[in-house]
Amino acid sequence: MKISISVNGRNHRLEANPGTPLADTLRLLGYLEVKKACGTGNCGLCTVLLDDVPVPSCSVITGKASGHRVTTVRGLGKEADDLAACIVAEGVDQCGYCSPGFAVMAVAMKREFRRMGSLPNEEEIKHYLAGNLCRCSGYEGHLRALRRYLEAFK
Amino acid sequence: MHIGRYEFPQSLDEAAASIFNEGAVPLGGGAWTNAVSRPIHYALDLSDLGLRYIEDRGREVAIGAMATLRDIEISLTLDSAFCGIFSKALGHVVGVQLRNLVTAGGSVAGRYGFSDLNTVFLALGATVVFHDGATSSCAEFLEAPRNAPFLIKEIRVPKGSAASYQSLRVAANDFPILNVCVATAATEWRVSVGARPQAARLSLRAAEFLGLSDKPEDRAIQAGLLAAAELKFGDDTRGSAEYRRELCSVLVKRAVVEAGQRI
Ligand SMILES: Cc1cc2nc3c(=O)[nH]c(=O)nc-3n(C[C@H](O)[C@H](O)[C@H](O)COP(=O)(O)OP(=O)(O)OC[C@H]3O[C@@H](n4cnc5c(N)ncnc54)[C@H](O)[C@@H]3O)c2cc1C
Ligand code: FES
Ligand code: FES
Repeated sequence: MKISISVNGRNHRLEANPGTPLADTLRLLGYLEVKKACGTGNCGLCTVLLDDVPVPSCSVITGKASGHRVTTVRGLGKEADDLAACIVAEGVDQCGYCSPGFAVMAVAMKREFRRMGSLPNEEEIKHYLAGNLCRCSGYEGHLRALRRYLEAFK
Repeated sequence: MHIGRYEFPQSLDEAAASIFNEGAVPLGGGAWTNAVSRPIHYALDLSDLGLRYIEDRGREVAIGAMATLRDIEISLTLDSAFCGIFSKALGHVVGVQLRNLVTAGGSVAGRYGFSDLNTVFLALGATVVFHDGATSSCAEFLEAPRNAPFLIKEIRVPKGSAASYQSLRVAANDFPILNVCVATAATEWRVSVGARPQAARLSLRAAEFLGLSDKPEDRAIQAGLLAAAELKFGDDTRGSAEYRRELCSVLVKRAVVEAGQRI
């Protein structure tokens, strides 16, 4: 099938099996910042924005993404850079493999709440990010980094 | 997963013709289909059919087959009509990103044993509506044999029930070990139990017993025991049949009490 996808503002046209997970297609196209672990939608590592909505790219088949806009963590620009600075400052990462998916999800959360004119409280943060697993840390660092990141929008 | 042909039909009739005449496989979010990863010769992506809606239609709420579990979780229409049980039932289905993808139609069509949504639909007396307007009660649909192809257009949920949803999971976003939904309208009660680990079923004995009483909440323990005795439970890695049976009596009791308080 002929697939056309815009990734981080760049258009790609390719011949691909529509059943290939989007995460694999993105990595083949060179977007290696998209990480994959469980491959079934459980861990959140592969999260990207599909038309601005966060989805697990391992569970989206490539045919479904055709004609749509994909944003990886690199496409988030300054929003992701600011969050990365908070992640570093709070010493969140150990292996760091979960960070790209976490950052995409955190920025999506911030945008969604800002659209509603608010910012998430602690419970809402935990609920929104429950689908992002980290096998190294105990999530406390993630929460500290998020509090620091969201502080700037108060 | 290999997919031979992939198309976006533009009408329900076009989709139905491909499904019934050419054996095409309809796809909602495609997440479960991708997880089981069986090759598909001809897939139909239902995204262009305008089936992503949640509409208040007076006596019922219609949920389009392509509404995502996240749409349902955060719908204010559903929240006010059904005591917030949809957001409670779906808020632990993995994570927000997966719920942004998976659909109501895929959940109902798959008749998954672990489904949280189907347990709620069953207790609320929902109706499954097919592409041609034919209907089936959710209870009939979940028990029907799986041999004939079909295309779900929407699920209609009658309003007016007070309801409660209860479940237990090993980890917050794992499959449920058991889930229960109890709904009541006037003197009628419906008690549904899912993740047994088989698909949700109604406990008719518990419902009948509750309907006979003036103060059903006082009889919640007995209703729980009746449901546990009536329904079948099985073993899997999350729990034994015996554990599920015990759990059933406790969760039904809690749900009856909570639904009763919401009347
Ligand atoms: C990792 C993972 C964990 C999950 N955990 C839970 C959980 O804890 N609780 C829970 O309730 N659910 C859970 N689910 C299931 C999820 O909620 C959906 O029920 C499931 O993914 C199916 O939805 P889909 O849109 O992905 O369906 P698809 O994969 O698109 O389709 C599933 C089946 O339904 C058919 N189909 C789809 N739409 C239609 C239609 N309109 N008409 C006819 N047939 C149709 C397809 O042909 C296919 O056979 C989980 C799913 C995944 C991937
Ligand atoms: S790799 Fe996609 S959710 Fe785990
Ligand atoms: S830091 Fe290693 S998985 Fe999160």
